[in-house]
Amino acid sequence: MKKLVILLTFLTSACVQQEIVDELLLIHATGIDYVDELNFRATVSVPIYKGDNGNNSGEGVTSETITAVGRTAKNIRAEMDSKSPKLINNSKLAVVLFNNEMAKKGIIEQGDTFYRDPLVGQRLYLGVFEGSTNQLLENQPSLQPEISKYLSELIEQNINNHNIPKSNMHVFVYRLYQEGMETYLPYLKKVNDQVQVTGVAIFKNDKMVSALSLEESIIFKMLIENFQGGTYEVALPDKEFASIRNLSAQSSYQVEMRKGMPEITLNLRTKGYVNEYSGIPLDQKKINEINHLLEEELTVEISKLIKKFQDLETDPVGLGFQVKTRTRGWDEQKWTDQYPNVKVHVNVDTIITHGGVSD
Amino acid sequence: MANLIPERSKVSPFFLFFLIPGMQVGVGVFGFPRYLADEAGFDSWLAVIITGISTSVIIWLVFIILKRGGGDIIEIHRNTFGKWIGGFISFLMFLYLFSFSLVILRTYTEVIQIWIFPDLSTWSITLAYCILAYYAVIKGFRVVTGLSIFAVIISFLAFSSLIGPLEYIEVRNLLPLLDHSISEYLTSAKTMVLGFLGVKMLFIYYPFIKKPDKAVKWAIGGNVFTLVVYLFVVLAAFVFYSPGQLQKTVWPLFTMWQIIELPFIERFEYLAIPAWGAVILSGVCLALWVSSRGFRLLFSFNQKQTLIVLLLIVFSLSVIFQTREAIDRMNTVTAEIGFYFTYIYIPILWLIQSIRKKGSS
Repeated sequence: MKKLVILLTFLTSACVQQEIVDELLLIHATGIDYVDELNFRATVSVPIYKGDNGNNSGEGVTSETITAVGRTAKNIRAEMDSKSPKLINNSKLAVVLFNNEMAKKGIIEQGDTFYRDPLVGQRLYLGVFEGSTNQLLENQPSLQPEISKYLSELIEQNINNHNIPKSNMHVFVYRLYQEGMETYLPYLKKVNDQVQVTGVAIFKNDKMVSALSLEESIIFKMLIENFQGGTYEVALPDKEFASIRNLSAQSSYQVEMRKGMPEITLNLRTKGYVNEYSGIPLDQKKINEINHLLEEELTVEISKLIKKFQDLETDPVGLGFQVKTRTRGWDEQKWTDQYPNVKVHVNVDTIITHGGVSD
Repeated sequence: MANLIPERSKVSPFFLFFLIPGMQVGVGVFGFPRYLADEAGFDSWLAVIITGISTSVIIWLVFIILKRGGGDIIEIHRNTFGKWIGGFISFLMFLYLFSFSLVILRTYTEVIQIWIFPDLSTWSITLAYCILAYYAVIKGFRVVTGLSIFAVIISFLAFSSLIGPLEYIEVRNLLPLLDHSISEYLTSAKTMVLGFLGVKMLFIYYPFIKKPDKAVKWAIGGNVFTLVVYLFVVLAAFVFYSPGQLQKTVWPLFTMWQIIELPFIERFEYLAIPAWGAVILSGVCLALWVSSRGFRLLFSFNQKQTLIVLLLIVFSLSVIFQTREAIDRMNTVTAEIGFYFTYIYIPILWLIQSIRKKGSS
């Protein structure tokens, strides 16, 4: 009896379809383009392994694409399956790019498809690409033979080096559904045959409304997250400039209610050292001057950026969230009406620790 | 009745610390933050504490009832309500405890089918589990207790993994504190009940505990352990998700695991979900053991044959429930019954017993 029981346990456990890595097409990148009101085009990029030719330089890998047009993710998938010799699988998906036209029309449906799929991880990078993602994935204009890996490393590198704020599937969905906060995605563009991260795409609900430049992106990053290790360039009078390294930023908010209108004070503390300075000499006096200019410049830039968001009636900084978490019985509708006219005071406090190792 | 159990089949009171969470921390933990937030929003972690504390009180009452009645619930029911009504209540109680095994197993099967093997049929997972459960339950209470130790250790490891998503937390989510009405907290607390059920199994395995009068502190200790685990999970979920996002996430715990990326394994949940199988097995075995023993005592059946019949019922009902909706409803109904059985019936039983005792003296 005992033996029979053990035998039965093993017998009942092997009845699923096998998924052998060699026999799957693992999608690494997907591009989604706008076609017309109803349809969109999806392009998936799958790596093709050519076998081991004795080195590890990655030359054995190229990528290939499959394209399909359809109205829902499901019939796109059916069309792709009909074009593919092997089973297509989403479990290694690393990047999904939406073309900017698509992003302007709203990407909630497609985004939801990926969020819903348990095979897709939460660290998936989403991004907006200016131009056709279909051409991007097919032509592979990159330094690496495999475009999808290039794209995910590109975004990752830009986040780690503090050009753009943290972004992935989780952050996108978190902000999309958070009250008093709007979401953003990395914005990519092809410049001189090379793909670059050129800033951040700002959304209102699930629709892209604007794209920030890289300079604006780092300021935006200072407002929404604490980090260290960034770089910032200050323009000085007489066409001089100084670059601040190892910049750390910490922002905090204060909310005061005046006659039913919230007034927000933003305190930003930054710290860094001067790494590059075009003029000479760099003495303590000059450092103080740079410090002062940096403070002024950041204050102006931040105010400008917040004004820009208020004019666009979108709140990616999450000022509404700051007010919400400090108010009992917060009313989202009322806040939306107030938002474009809310006063935001900006206090910047910078410390420049030293001017490098040479005098 | 309690005297008939041989000393070698009994366990030390210490093991109640595992037996209680072994039943409580089952499948409810995967999804409960979402249901909890329905009423009192991100304030509802307070509801976990309310339910946890009230469950501790219930455990204490259960011990009092059993001590007065000599440790045999069937006898207690018979003395309190008469032969037929008392027997019928006992029968309902065992039926209800039995339904746990179905709820846990079917929900876990659904998880496996959605996350790991989409084309694995329900009957094969259920069959494998039924055979395993038979193998364990037939060996008696000590084996079942052993399984619950496994369950507690594994669940503890899995929850400590929630340190992984720390990178993305936003503590401000919990603010403003206490922004809801008392009735909203109580409704949330009621939702939480499913996570704390299983204390009624004490009625059955009480005679199997050595020195039962010293056991109450271990039982409440186990309950507090469950409370802490739930509190940790719910706080982790609330600082990790935004309210709208949580409403869209069926199993917040798994989606939190999805963000964990280890150097040697890219996706943590593929490791954690199968490991959870041991936790599930403990719950299923405990429920089956308790109900088969209950039916045996009530109807003087043979426990082995009862067990086989119960397993057949679990197996066939599991296959019948097909959709998420049906499984959800099954969960809700069990929680609802459990709420009345545990938080209303037990205090009433205690009250009646107290009055009768006074009357007879």
